[in-house]
Amino acid sequence: MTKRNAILCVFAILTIFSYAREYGDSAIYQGINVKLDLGNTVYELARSKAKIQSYEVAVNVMLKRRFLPTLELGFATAQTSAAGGKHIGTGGFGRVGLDISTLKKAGTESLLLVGVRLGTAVQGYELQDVRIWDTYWQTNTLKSYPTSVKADVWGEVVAGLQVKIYKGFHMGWFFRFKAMFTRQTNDKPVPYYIPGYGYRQDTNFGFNYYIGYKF
Amino acid sequence: MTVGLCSCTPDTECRIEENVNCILTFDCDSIRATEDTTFVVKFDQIDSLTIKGMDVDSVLYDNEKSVSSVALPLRSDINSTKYNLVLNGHQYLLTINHQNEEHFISMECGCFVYHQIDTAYTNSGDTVEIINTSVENSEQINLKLHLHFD
Repeated sequence: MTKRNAILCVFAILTIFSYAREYGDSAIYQGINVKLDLGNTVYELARSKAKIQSYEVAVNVMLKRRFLPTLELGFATAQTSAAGGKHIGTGGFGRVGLDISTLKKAGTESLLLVGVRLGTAVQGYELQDVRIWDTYWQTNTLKSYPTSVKADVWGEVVAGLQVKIYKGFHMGWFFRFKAMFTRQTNDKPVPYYIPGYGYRQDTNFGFNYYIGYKF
Repeated sequence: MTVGLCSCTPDTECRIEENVNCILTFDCDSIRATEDTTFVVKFDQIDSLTIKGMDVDSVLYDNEKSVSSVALPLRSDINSTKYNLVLNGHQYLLTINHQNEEHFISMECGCFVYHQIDTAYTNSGDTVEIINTSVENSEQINLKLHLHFD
């Protein structure tokens, strides 16, 4: 990104937030929430000893005190292994979707949310020391696949909470059920870990703990 | 929450039970004689069979009785596989020349190697008929060994 583009981005974000502040209490629009995920980041750092690192931010807009169109962006890097080989990958991911506040009395401060997401990730990855089993002849051949790029797409159903802590600050969590839409094409090596999705399985679970600020 | 987080970590062991073997069957004949006449007896079972790979210690079939087919793993590191066969007391060297194709299965299972058989022969000159060149599982018959016992 050039310096000129960076300045334009900053101006665009400031314009949106100033608009959010000015019109934040209308009947239709009740502000923008910016959230930083801490739960997933800390969990992955602790569990994998930083071999997997995942970072993400989320932005949503509250409309009509009940509907929250959401954009989530993140980045992950993974060095992980299974019985058949090692995966090294780095990539970004994004999710778009909608949350709905399910509390009977619609409000803007404490929310019980359910929603859906469509997620996609693009990553560069390589597979190393992939095992070729040959038990009778007792040959132990290892194969490496060079760096390639792959995109994956999945869907999510989410449920979570958002509660006000102090002034504009709030926190909350999301539980996610994920289903992979991209299928493994026959015999082509595919990434073992997918940024924003987790390990490659047909279905997966996720958890986020957010700290956020409402503009 | 603990249940949710634990389920994010997959089982890293391979759970696919896939064996890629060349299946060899037998077609044998033997000349029998009575006082009046001689006749040919055909059979497809070997009464006594021992098979061992060339240059490995482990025996694949050890004095097995009444065997009609055998599953032979082919080498994934080179393009020729050799087996010592002892069939009804007769010794043979079976050579199978093949191409190897690596197929990625998953990170848990790694690669399996499939094979395409080019040629197969024995040192005795008995015919080895190629039924199916493609070795991708252990279900299809690939070779038939035509043997003649006196």
